[in-house]
Amino acid sequence: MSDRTVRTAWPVAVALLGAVLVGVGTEAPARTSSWAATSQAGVAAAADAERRDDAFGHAAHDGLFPLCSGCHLGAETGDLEALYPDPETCVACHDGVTEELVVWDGPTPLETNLAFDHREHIDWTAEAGDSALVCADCHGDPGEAILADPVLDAATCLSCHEDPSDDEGHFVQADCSTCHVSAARSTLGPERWAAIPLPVDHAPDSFLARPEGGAVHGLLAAGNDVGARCTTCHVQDQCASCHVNAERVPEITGLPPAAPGDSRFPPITAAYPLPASHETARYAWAHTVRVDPAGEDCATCHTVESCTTCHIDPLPEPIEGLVHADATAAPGTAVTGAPPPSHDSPFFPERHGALAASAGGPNGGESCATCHAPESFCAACHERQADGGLRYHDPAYVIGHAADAAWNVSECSTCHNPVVFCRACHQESGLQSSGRLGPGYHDAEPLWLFRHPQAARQQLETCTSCHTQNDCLQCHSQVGAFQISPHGPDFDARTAWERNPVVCRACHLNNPIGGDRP
Amino acid sequence: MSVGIRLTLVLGAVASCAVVARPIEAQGVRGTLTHTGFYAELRPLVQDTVPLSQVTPTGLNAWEFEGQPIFCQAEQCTRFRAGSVASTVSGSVDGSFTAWGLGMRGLSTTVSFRARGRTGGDLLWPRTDDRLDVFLAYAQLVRGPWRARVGRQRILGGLGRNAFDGGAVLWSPRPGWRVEAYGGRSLALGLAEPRNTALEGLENFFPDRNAYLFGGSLQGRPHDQVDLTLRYQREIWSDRSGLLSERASLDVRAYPWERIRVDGSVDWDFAFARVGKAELTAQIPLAGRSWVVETSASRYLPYFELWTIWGFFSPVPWHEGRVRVAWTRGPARAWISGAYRRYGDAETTVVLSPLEDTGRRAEIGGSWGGERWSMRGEYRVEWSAGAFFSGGDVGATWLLRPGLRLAANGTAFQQIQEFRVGEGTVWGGGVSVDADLPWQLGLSAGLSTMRAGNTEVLRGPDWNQLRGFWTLSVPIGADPGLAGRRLPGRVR
Repeated sequence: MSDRTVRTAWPVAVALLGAVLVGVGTEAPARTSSWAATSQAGVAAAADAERRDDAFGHAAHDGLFPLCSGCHLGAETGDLEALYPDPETCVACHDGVTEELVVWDGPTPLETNLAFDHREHIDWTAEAGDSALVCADCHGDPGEAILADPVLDAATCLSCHEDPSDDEGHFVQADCSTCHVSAARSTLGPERWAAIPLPVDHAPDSFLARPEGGAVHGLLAAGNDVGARCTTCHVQDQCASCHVNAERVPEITGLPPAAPGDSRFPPITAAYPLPASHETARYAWAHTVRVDPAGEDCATCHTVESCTTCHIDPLPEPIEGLVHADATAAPGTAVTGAPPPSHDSPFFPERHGALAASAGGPNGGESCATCHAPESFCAACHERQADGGLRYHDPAYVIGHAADAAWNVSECSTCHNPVVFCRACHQESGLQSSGRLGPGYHDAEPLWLFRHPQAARQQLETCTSCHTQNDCLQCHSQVGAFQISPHGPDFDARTAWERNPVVCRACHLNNPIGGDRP
Repeated sequence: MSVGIRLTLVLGAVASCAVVARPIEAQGVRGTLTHTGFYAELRPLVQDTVPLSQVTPTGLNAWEFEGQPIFCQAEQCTRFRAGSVASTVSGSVDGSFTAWGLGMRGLSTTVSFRARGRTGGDLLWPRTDDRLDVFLAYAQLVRGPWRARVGRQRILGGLGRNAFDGGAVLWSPRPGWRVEAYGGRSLALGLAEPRNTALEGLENFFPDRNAYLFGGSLQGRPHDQVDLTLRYQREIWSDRSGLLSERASLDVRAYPWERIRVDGSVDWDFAFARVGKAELTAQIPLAGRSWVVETSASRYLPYFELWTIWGFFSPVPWHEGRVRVAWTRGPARAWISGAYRRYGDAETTVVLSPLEDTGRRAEIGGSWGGERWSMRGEYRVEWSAGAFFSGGDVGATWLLRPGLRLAANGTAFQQIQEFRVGEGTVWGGGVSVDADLPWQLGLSAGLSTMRAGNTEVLRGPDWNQLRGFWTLSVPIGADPGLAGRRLPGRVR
């Protein structure tokens, strides 16, 4: 054997030894499902590169080292430093003189994610009353050269570490940390990671969200020791690919992160399937009653910006539990602001008064101030319009507004003060009456003065847009020209006097209902 | 309070908010400054006299001059005619600011004001002589289910919009339920001024005293498909000499069956012991919401505050039934509506023939909104007491490029009797532009004109006029939520 051969063979041999000692799964046990069998076969295939012939030649050294512990003392003592012999031990014979020169620098780090402690297994079996394990129980007789094949496959492990799920194999329910180190600590290369099959419970249609609500991975994370299962294959950084609040979730922050520069764990493509709860009718307008006080239910997918798409300050309390979009690497779910169903009607702009007055619709929280700032939104029409603003009506609306005003299409006095707005403008336009009354304006109707009582009773607001109170008092007052009572037959003079005698005195010189009070 | 003092107070409040507010997270100062300019050129009506010798008798106590009815008494007749052309250039600046982060969680301040001015022309546009109004100026503290406000504020609800200087406390024990109480110095309806000065110079019978307003509301959700609000409000004169108003309202919204929505509202005037407005509306979506049918029955009795004599004139209500149907498919929408109204019996002596006491109104319209183009057209006709109206509007908006919209609209209408356009037709049209400028500035400008046709029967008012407007809005701070992006749509 040439030096080159030895240089190549030794690392391989050491690797093989490692594989033999710590075990890499091979074919699936018969009890596993076909999927699990395939999956485990995949792992075994990935390990093929490690399976080489026994380059060290244990059989050849059999007589020379009768005890395994002669070279692998650490397997008995648990001292990992002593798991392999020192290179000097080899050179003691293979010095190029006594035996062929061997240059070995020690064991090559293995690509593995397994955690196996020989000493522990020896002790456990002893404590269990089993006969003490010897190396051959697992590794076979070196003389039989069985070391050429891995001897510790998953099935071997599971023969003791019983898999509670007979159907789905150890990839689903087993406590991974029993046999595996975390992904962050593992030494598996990218190819080995890529070859690890997707566990059956990671099925895309249920893993992130299930029709009945919840998510498999969430339930797994909640129902299991996250560090035991999830971290076997994942690092903290990958959780942050989707969880916008990863930095606030103890279950995530407690996971080991990838080492800086470790490229074996690329970000997971973020996906935010719509939970079943969100598909209920009018969910967007009813979600407040479903939000937990801290907002944690929302915080996985939503940032503060999700809320501020619709909500304006002051933000609801649960939003305090969310993070800002610029403080997370995860994209989070995009929320599109849209008017609530109540706004669907094309008549809504004219009909929103009842909604605004009734606290905003059923199912919670559909109040105007959720999305609209009254100081700017409402005022755009209700206050700025009062001065002839431009937003509610078209600029030329005033020209044809008379019919709408007479019909009271939208209650003008909601925004406009009749005295200041209507009458002042009419006055400037020449429409306000002044001085002695005459039907000059109303002369399209003959004898208007005699006909106006009906119009006044039926459309009094229209009258007040041009006429002042004094116009009426010229006739409808004790000091007026005709002293004509404007009161209808059902007018309750006593109640009116009791409510506000000041106005009564505008027309009446004395107490109109008699009594002691003047 | 003088304009200078008020202006100083407003600017001081704004400056204080800006200085004190700390820009932490979603907090800081947010608001908008909007300048609106307005130009109008028209011929106001003037009252003129005509010698009796120049008019033509047309019947009993009826005359005509130049084809138009005219009123004559003794030897003199009076009429309204168009005066000389007058114009105005006026402008206003609106500011609305809210500041958070004042060192205490949940504390914010809000200020909303308007400054006005007339810069030219001989036409006095309403309110341009009132240089400054402070609509809102309050501090708010929100702590858990409690909210307190102190300062100038207003209440919007079933009793309309009521502004006051005072305090309000709101308690929301659980979603959908709120209890609110408020009170303070009442401000004049539609104005942001105390009652004793608001109408000075504008109304010869204006109140010379202030008034206090007290009220409360209970908003509740007795069922998950029912919301209701009960509100009571009372205003009294500051000298306790009488009542200014005492009313209550009930507003209900319910989804009795799937997507059918029912709105109901009614208010009660304690002063006259009568129902004011009442309305019941059912909205029924059909065919997957492609169709919306809305039916409503309403009663309307105008409300007059007790400082006026109008409420004592025994106004009568009208009752109306209305059906509206809307159809929507993608960007297309069409609607049609019809209403019938009957005015209550005036219970007054009718001389000669009674006036029309019913009204009918019909409307049909459609709109289409694509990515770059949107169009809208509408026609409505109305027969009612005192007026007939027939007119239509069309409009189109073109998104020239993102942030730049051009719009054009046209209108034509005929309106007879009350405003004596007669049988003529008024045509109008206008163009406008809306542009989003850098730094979130918004600029709008437009020009419209109206021209009267068939002028031989338009001897009274001259409807020819020219109007222009421009607005520039300046946002300050990032206003989250829909408020920053969505403004109310124009109704008409």
